[in-house]
Amino acid sequence: MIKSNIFFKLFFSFLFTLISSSSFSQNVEFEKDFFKEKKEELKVAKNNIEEGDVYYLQGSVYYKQAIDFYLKANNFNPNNALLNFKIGQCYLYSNDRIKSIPFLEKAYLLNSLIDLDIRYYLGLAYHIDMQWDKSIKEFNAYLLLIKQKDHPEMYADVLKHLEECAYGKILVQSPVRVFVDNVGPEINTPYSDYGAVISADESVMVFTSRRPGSTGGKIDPGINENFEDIYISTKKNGKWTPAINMGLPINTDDHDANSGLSADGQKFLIYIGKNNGDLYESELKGEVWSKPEEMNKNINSANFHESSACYSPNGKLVYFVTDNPDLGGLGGRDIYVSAKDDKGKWGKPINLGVKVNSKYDEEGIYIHPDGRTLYFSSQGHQTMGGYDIFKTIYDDKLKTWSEPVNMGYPVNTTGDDVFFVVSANGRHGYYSSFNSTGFGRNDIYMITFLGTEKPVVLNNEDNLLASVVAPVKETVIAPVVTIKEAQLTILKGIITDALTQKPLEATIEIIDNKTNELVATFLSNSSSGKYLVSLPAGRNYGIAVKKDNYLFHSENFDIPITAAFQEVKKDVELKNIAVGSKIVLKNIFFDVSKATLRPESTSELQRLQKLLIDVPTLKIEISGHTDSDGTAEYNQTLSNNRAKAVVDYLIKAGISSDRLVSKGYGKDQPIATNDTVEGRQLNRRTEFKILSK
Amino acid sequence: MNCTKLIFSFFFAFWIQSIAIAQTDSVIQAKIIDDGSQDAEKFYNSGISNFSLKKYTEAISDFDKAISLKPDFEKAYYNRGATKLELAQFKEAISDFDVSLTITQNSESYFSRGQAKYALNDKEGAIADYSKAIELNSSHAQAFYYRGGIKFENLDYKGAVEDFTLAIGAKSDYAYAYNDRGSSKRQLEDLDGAILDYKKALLINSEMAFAYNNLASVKRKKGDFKGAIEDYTQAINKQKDYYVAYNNRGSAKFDSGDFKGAIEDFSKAIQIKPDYVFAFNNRASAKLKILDYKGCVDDCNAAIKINSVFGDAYLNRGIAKEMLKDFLGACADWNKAIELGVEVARNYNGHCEK
Repeated sequence: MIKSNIFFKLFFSFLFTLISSSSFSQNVEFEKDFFKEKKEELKVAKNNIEEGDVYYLQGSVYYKQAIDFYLKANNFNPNNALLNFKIGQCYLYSNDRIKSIPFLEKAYLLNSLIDLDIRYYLGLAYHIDMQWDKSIKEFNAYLLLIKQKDHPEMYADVLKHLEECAYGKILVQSPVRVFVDNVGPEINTPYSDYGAVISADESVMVFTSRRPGSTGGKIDPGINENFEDIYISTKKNGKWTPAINMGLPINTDDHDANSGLSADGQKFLIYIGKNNGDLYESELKGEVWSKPEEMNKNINSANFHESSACYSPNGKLVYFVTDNPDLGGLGGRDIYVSAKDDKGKWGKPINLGVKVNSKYDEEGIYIHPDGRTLYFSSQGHQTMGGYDIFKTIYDDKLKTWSEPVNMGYPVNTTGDDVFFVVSANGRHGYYSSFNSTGFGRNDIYMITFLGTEKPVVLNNEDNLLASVVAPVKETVIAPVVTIKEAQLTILKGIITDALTQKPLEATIEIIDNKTNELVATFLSNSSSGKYLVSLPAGRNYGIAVKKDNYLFHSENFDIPITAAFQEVKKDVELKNIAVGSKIVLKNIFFDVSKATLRPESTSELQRLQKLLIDVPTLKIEISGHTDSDGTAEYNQTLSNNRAKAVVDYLIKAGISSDRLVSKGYGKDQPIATNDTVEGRQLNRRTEFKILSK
Repeated sequence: MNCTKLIFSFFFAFWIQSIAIAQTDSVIQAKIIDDGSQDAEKFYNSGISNFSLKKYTEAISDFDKAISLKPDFEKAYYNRGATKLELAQFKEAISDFDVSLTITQNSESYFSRGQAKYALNDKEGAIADYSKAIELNSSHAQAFYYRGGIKFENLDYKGAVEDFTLAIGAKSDYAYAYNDRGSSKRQLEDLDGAILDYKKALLINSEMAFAYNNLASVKRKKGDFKGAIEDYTQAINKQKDYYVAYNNRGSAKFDSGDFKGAIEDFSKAIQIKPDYVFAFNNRASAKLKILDYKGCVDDCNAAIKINSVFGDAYLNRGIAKEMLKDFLGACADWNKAIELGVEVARNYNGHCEK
């Protein structure tokens, strides 16, 4: 009797569920029987479906063109499972991927068996929308439907999605404090805009776009979008100017995508779609970019795809991405580094190793102007979906890269987050993302890093002493929050002729004074005279600005390892070699109160020696100067001896003594006040003067 | 006549409040001796009457006459000095105490001269006089108490605790001394000891709003925000316009995450004291927490308008401006905060143009 009751209860419960379910989820086919009174409308709807199918059947890159037709048919009959499924699928590959959710849900409700993969698509849609639990539920349900041995790739793909959902759930719970802002319509369009690179001071942005009007006007059949071209924008008064196509010779009728821009914005790495995609270099000469030159075979392969690349800040290394298996990759696309040899040739590439390269694809690399922080995108490591951006830091001592760190949400999203670059001061990042807040397809976004929450300060006081009216203020100091910023100095400015004020193309040499190593060589722009060099903290730099027939200019930057980011503007006026011209030798150092040249002076002395060799008719006076501390006699002797020490060095180095005069002026020719520490430092100097040429 | 003589033959005391010191339960005790010179005594007594009626000018005139009739009338000098103290004529008061002390070495003149010196910010001189008073009268509770107060101000909290303890030893119901010893212990981070002292002070005199406030602040310091809020409320109940306690209760609510409650208290403090810069800045901080960045900027503006060199308000305004994406404004505020000595701002302005 009890059994019988339970049976009846279950039966009626099942029947009720069936009836109620069918009353909400009746699948309605596009057939006459359902639309007896609307034959004409039915015909139109069916035509729309057929037109949509034309695109649908061509594959996912054409899905977005099917949507409008399908939606018209769906307006007529919103209860067809197959049509809802197709619309959901099409939206998944459109600009509005989240819109797929209600259509896929309805398709499943109308007919859960409409497609074997519907649970997979639902899982994808929820994943994109960061509905983690729903996504995990759908993916798990899908795993039960497919067998690993029959669909090993699909099975692995779903497992990866499950991992991404689990990790995404964690990342979203502790978002990084950033502003993510679309850089605006001056840069972005409804088409794909991506791969932004910036100069270290954020004054120039170069990026790739698939907007209409690309050079050659071709459409990429693989993805049904325009060919890539490179665009440039400059920042004026804090705003980006409307981007312009860089034109010939940078853009060709093939795919032209920018890869990397040197820190000073004068050198450019370009991806051109020839040979399955190769890398090229171009240089800004004045206002004109040189014809891109293909990089050598150590970088470019005949049949594989070399894409993203960037220069190290000193220009001596190039990092790049390739899927060339001959280089011993670790799976998919990997990151490599190649060094420039003495003859200017790029050497054999080296894989960055297992810490950086995963079995999945890596892409979009960028080395920060500090020279040791590498940003890259990867589908491997731990991501929350698609490509995520990671950071790894090179340890100079251990010669290893650190474990890559996910940049966190909302820098990373469930979509593809790639081509990440960071301003020299570390405050801003630029990257491309494909999400619903943009102008369409991929857009370029600027991230402002806010660091950890800044604690506010409260002020309180108490009447601590009963007999004293005035309350005593509580001493409260806000806790220190370390805002991580790049530890480097950006030195920038304009090089001009001292007399004519015309911009000059000059060579800028950066020397490590301790090791006398030539760290880097740059050219200022011939048209603007602009230069920019990046000086990572922890070295004593000698900066030499040289040009034929001009006296060289030298600067000294001793940047301790603990120094914070700074941007120093230093305009340099080079003096034409003319009798009477004087120049201060800022990188000549003596032991305290002695005339013994310190080893850090070697590079400056060698430059002086070279100048005398290059201009064999030149006769110069080397003069020593002191500050006003000490007696006149002492200062006179010291300055005499110091000037003589430099002359002796040059004579020893092979310069004829009849071209050299040494003279000490003691404290008699100050160039600054002797009342301040800084002034006295400037007055203690070694100078040279052109006596004849 | 006998009666008058009797009066003059006894010591009597009168109480004056310290001029420079507003909240005090301490007194200055003056003792008058009948030395037989009746006219002088008459003026002298008239002076005391006028003093009691707060007719200070008349009182001084009486003491002047008493002194002119009897140039060695030590108590007349003392009382004239005490009256001048009341009129904030500190230097003149010191002169009278000096004369009094040349006639007779007495602890009261030293003590009162110490008070006058303190009012003239001569803390060293005051300490010396209080010490002398103690030397002459080892149970001079007030001398211990005020000396302790100066040690507190000189950040010698350990010395202050010793003096307040001696004051309590001389006067076991000395509520102020308990309060101030509690404050000294608080400064020495002996928070539990401070709580005990504040509680003892309140046991002796439960009307002392400031003691409730101080007790609450120590509880807040210990992280007992609930207890702190209760005691601040007691302080406010005892003194309805106690803006300091409103501001502090707001901070305790802030600490406990009740930002809206905090804003209400800071607003009340501002209502009572419209130029209370701390409450403006604190309300700005609370608004920042509820993401009302514009409101935060407005309150910081108000604080800066009241005090243009208030560095903390620049710091907070910079934080709010950053969240409003006014990055240049934020940098300008942080740079200004650094200029005004708020070193923590150096952690924020790394990317700013210097």
